[in-house]
Amino acid sequence: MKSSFVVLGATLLLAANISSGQDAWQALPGYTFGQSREPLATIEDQIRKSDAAGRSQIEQRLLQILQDPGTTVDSRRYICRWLGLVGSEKAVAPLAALLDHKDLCHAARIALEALPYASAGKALADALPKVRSKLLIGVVSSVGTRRVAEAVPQLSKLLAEGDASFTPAVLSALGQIGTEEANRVLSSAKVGPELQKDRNRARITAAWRLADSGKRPQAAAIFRELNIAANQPTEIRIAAAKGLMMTLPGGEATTLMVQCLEGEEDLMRLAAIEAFAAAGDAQDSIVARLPSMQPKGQLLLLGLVADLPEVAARKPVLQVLEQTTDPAVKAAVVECLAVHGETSDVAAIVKLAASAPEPVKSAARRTLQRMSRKGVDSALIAMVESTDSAARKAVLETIISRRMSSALPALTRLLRGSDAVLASEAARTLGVMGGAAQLKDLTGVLVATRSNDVRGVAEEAVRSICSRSEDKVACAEVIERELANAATPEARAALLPATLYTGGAAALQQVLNAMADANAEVRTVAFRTLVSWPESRAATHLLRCAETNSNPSQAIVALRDGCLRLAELEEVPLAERASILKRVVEVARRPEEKRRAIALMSQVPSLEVLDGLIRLAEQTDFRAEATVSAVQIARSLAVMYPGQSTAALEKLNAAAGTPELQKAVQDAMKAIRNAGQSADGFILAWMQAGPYTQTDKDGSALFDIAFPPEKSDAGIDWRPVLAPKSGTIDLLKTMSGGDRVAYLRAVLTSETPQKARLELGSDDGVKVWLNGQVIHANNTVRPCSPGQDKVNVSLNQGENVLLLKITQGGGDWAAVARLVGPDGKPLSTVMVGASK
Amino acid sequence: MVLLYPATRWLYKEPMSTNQMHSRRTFLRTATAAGLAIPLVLPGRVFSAEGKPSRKIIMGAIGLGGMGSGNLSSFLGDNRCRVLAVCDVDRNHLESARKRVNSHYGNEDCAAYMDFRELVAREDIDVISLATPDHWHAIPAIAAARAGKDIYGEKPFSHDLLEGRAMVRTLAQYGRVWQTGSWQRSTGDFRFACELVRNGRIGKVHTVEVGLPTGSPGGNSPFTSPPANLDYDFWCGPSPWAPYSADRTHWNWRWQMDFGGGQLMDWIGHHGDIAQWGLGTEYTGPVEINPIYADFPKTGIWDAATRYRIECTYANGVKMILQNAEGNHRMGAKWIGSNGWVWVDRGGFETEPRSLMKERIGPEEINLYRCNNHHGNFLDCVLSRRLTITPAEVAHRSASVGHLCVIAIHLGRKLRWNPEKELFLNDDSANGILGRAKREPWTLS
Repeated sequence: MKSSFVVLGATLLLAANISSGQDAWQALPGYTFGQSREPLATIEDQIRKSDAAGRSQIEQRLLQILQDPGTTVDSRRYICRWLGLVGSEKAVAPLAALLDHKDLCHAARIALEALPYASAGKALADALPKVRSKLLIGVVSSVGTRRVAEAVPQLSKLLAEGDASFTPAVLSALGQIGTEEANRVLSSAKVGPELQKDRNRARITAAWRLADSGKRPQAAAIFRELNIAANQPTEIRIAAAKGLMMTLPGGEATTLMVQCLEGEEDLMRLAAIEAFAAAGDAQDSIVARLPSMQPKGQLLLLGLVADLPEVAARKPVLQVLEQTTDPAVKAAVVECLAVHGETSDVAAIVKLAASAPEPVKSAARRTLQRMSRKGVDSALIAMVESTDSAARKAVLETIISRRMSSALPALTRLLRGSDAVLASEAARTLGVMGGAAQLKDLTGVLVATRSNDVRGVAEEAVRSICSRSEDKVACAEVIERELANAATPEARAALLPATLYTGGAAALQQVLNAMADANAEVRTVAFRTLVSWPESRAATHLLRCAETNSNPSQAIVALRDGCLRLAELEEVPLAERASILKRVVEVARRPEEKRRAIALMSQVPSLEVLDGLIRLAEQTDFRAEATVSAVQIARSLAVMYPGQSTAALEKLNAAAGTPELQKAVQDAMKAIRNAGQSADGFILAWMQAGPYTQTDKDGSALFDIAFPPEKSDAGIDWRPVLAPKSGTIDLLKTMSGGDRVAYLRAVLTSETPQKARLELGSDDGVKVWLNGQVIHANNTVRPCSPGQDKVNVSLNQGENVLLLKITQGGGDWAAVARLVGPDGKPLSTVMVGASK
Repeated sequence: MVLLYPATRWLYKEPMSTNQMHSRRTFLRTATAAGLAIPLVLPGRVFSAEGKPSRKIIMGAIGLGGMGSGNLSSFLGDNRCRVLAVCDVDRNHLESARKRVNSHYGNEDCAAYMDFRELVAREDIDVISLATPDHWHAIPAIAAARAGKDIYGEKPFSHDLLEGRAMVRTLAQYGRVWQTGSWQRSTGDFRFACELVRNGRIGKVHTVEVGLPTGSPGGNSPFTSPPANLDYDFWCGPSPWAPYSADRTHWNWRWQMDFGGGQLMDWIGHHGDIAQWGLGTEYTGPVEINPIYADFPKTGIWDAATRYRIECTYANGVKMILQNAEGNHRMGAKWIGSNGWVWVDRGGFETEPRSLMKERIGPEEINLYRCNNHHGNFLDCVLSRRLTITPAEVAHRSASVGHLCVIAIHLGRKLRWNPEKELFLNDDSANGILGRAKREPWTLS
C-alpha cells in the first residue's frame, strides 16, 4: 500500500527547490523531523563522493552550522552523527560541549565514540562530573566503550556515591576498561547485595581484559576468587571456572580440567567442557592423560574428542581400548575412532562390529559407517572375502551403509563365484546398492544358478534394482534380452515378475507373449504379471481378457485386480481412469464389478463423468450407486464449476428414487452454495495463469506490461487453484523464481446489481480488473496481509469477471482477496466460482 | 539428533580475547557423541517449580512480531521445552502471544513482560527466543548470556560489528549455546549445494554471486503519536530517538539504518550465510570490499540502500558479489568454479553440469553439519552443549559481510579489511563506525 505522503506545504516547496548541493546546505540549519530528507541525502551523497580535502571542507561547514545558535536541534542531531565520520580533532570540543544537552548528548557521543583521537576519550572522561541521571549513564557507557583508562578515578568516585541508578553502568565501564587499576577498583568496590551480580560480571569482563594484556596470573587469581566464593550464581561460577582454566599455566590448567571432568560437580564439568573446547593446542596434552583417567572422566573426554579431528587422540584412545574393561568406555573409544581411526584400525573395528557384545558392537558398526580417513573404503573392500562369516557380514553391511560404489566390481566377482553363500550375500548387497549396470550379472545368475537360495536372493535384487532405477529403459532392455535367452521355464518364470518394476511397452509385450508360452506355469505367472501391471497401458489387454477369456475366474480377476486397481492409481491421468471405469461397467459380467466401478467414479471428478453418472442414475439397477457418486463429484466440482454442479444436482434430485437419495442430493445442494468463497468472504476458487516474465524487467517493471490474460482469453493455460480458508494463495507453491507476474481470475455471480467492497492483500504489487476495466493498481513491494488495499466496486447482475495481476520481485509471493458488502459484512447474494 | 558425519564442519574458533584468536585449532564444544550416554550437563535450575527434576527446558520469548511469532510456534510444538514467559514492547503482540501459549498448554502459567530485563532476571528460565528488531539484538542477548541463558536469536546476528563481537565474546565467556535463525542451513538443497562446492565438484571456485532482494523507497507516512499499546521510547531503545510513524516500526524498521539494515542486512543471514558456508569462510571474512553502486532513497524515513552492488574479495582471491537481484543476478547463492556452477535459492536448485544434481557425497568427503530441524537443533544443543548449526561466531561472520558492505556503500570507497583483527586497514573513519554509541540509559555491557 502506498503511504500517504503528508508533509507541510512549506516543506513540499522546500523540497521542490532543492536541486543542488548548495540548496541542501542552505536547508540544513532549519531541518526538522517531518521534512523531506532530500537535503540530508544530498549532503550524504557529497560526503560519499568527497576526498580527504573535500571532507575537511564539509567538516568545517558542519561545525559552523552546529555552533550557530539558530540551527535546529534536529539539524544538530544530524550534524553530530556525520561529524563522527568526517570530523577531525577540531570537532571534539564542539561535540563535548553538547554532552550535557538532553537531546544532543547521544548524538554527540555517537561522534565522540567514533573519532580516533585520544582527546575524544578525554573529553568524555572530563564530562563525567558535569552530567547526571540518564546522561551520566550514557557518558559512562561511552567511556567504557572507548576504554578510557584515565577515567577510572572519576568512575571510582561515582561508585562511592552508591547511587543504584548509575552504579551498574559504572561497574560495566570499569570492566570494559579492565586495567589493573580498574580491576582494583572493582575488587574493592562496596556495593549492595542487589548489585553483586553486576559487580562480578564486570570483574569477569575486566579479568579477561587483563588476560588479553598478558597479565594472566592476575586474571587467574580473579577467576579463582570468583569461582570459589560462596553463594555465587551458577553462571558466574561457570564463567569464572572457565576463565580460570584458560588462564592458568598449561600444566595446572590441564590438571584442573581433568579433575573437573572426573569430578562430581555439574557446573565444573560444564566449565571444563567449555574450557577444553577453547583450549587450542593444549587439547593434545589433556587428551594424552586419557589412559590414566577415571572411567567417568574418560567417557566425557572421549565424547568431546569424538568430533575433533585435529586433536592427537588416536594413540591415547587405542591405549584406553586395550586397557579398559568398562563396556561404556570401550564403546566411546570405538565411536572416537570414527574420527581418529586410521585405515590400519579398520580390521580391528570390523572384528568388534562382528563379534563384540553390545554396546561395543553397535558403536563399531556406526564407526565403520562414519570413518572418514582416505583409504577406509579400500580397506573394507579388501575384507569382503574374509573367511570369518560374521566379519564378512559386517563388512557388507558397511559397504551398504557407506554406499560404496567402489565395491561393486568386487561384489560382482563374488556373485559369479562358486561359493553359494558368498554369492547370496553379494546378490543381497548388489540389490541394495547396484544399478542397471549390475542387472546383467544378476539376471545371468538368476537364469543359470542351480541354487534356489541364490535364485531367490538374485530375483529380489533384480526387482529391487529395477524398482528404484531411474533408467527403466536400460533395465527393461537387460531383462528383455535375458528373457529371450532364458531356456528353462523356471528362468522365464523367475524373470517375468521383474518386468513389473521396469514397465514399458516392450516389457508388456513380452508378458503378453508369455501368456501363450507352452509351459502352464509360465502362462500363469504371465497372467499374474499382467494383472499387476503398474501402467494403464495394460488396461486394454485386461479388458480384452475379461471379454474373451473362457475362464470366468480369470475374467473377474482381470477386472477386479487389474482394471479397477489401475483406475484407483493416482498417477494415472483422470481421463484414463474415467475411461477404464466406463469400460468396466460395459464389460463386466457381474454386478459386483459394475457397482465397484460406479463407486470409483466418484474419485475421478469431471463434468464428463458427472454426465455419465446422471445417465446411469436414470437406470433403476444402479441408481443408488450412481447417485451417490454423482453427488460426491458435484460437491467436489462446485468450487470451480458452481453452475454445472448445481444443474447436475437438480437433475439428480428429480431422478432420486428414495427419500435417502433425495436427502443426500438436497444436502449437497445446500453445501455447495457459494463454495468458492469462505464464510467470511475470502475468495477461495481461482483460475491461475503464469508466470510471465520479460528479459531485464524486474517485478515492478512488469506491472504495466500487458501479458496475454490482460488481452484476451484465447490460448491461456488457466489452471484451477484453491486457496486455504484464510484466503491467501501462496503463489510460490506452484511457481518459483523472481521478477515475474501471475494472474488470478474468479467469476462473481451477483443476484442483483449491487455495490460491494473488495479487500486485497498482495506480495508484491497488485492490479485489478473487474469486467475488463482496471479498478485498482498498486505497484508496491510488501509482504501480503488481508485488507492492505480496499476498493469499492459495482457488480452487475449475473456474472462479473474479476482479474488480479500479482507481481513478484523476490522472496515470498502471495495474494488474498475478500469480497464483502460496502459495510464490510459478508454478502449473501453473490456466488463465487473459478469459472462461469 | 544423531550426527552421522565427521568433523570438518566443526571449525570453530573461540576468541581468547577481543581480537586474538587461535590460529589453527578447531573444536567442537560437545558432551556427547552419537549414541554415547553422557550425564546431562545443564544448569541446576532445569527443575520444576516444585523442585523436582524436570526434563523440560524452560523458555522465555522476547519479541513476538513476525519472526518471533513463528519461532514461538516451533518451540510450542517441541515438547522438550516449555514456554513460561513472553515479552514485547507492543502490548497487542504480547497479549496475543500470552494467550497462544496459555491456550497451547491449557493453563494460565505464561507471564507477560514489556521489559525484557524482568524476563531475563527470572532464574527459572533456561533459554531465550530472541526475535526483536536488529537494534535490539545485542543488549538482550548479552544480558541473557550473562544470566546463564542459552539463546535462539534472529538474523542478522547484530546491528553492527562491535556489538556482534561483544555478543560472541560474552557467549563464549559464559559458555552459552547460541543458534541463529538462518534456517536455510537446515534444509537439504542448501546444504547439498554447499557440499558440492566444498568437495570441488565445480573445480576451483573463483566467484560467488549472492542475490538479495531490491529495497523500496518509502516511509512517507505522517508522524503521529505512537499507539497506546506500544512503548515507543523503549522500542527506540539504544538507537537514536526519532518521532513515531506507522512506517517506523513493525516490519518497516528493516528499511531504516538506525533500526535495521535494509534488504541487504535482512537477507545477509540467509543467502550471504549460505555463500560463506559453501566457500568455507565461515570463520573469516573478505579482505577487500569494493562498493560498485548503491541507490539511497531521498525522501521519507526509509534510508537503506534499495539497489546495490558490492564486490568483496577474500584472501584466496575468491570474489563474492552481493547485489540486489535483478537482470542476470538471481536471488540466492551461485558459486562459479573452473568446472561449472551451483545455484541455490528457496525452491530453486540448478547446476552446471546438470549431472551434479545427482551426485552423492561420500563418507570420505566433506560432510557438512546435517540438521533438518533448525529450532530442534537449538534444543538438542542446549541439552548436549554441542555447537549449533549456526553458532555465534559463524553468524557474526555472516553478518559481518553485510556490515562491511553497508559501511563501504555508506562511505562510497573501497575498503581493506583484516578479518583476524576485525579492523579496516588505514581508515580511521571506517573503523569509527564499526559500532555506534547506545542511547542512554542503554549500555551494551
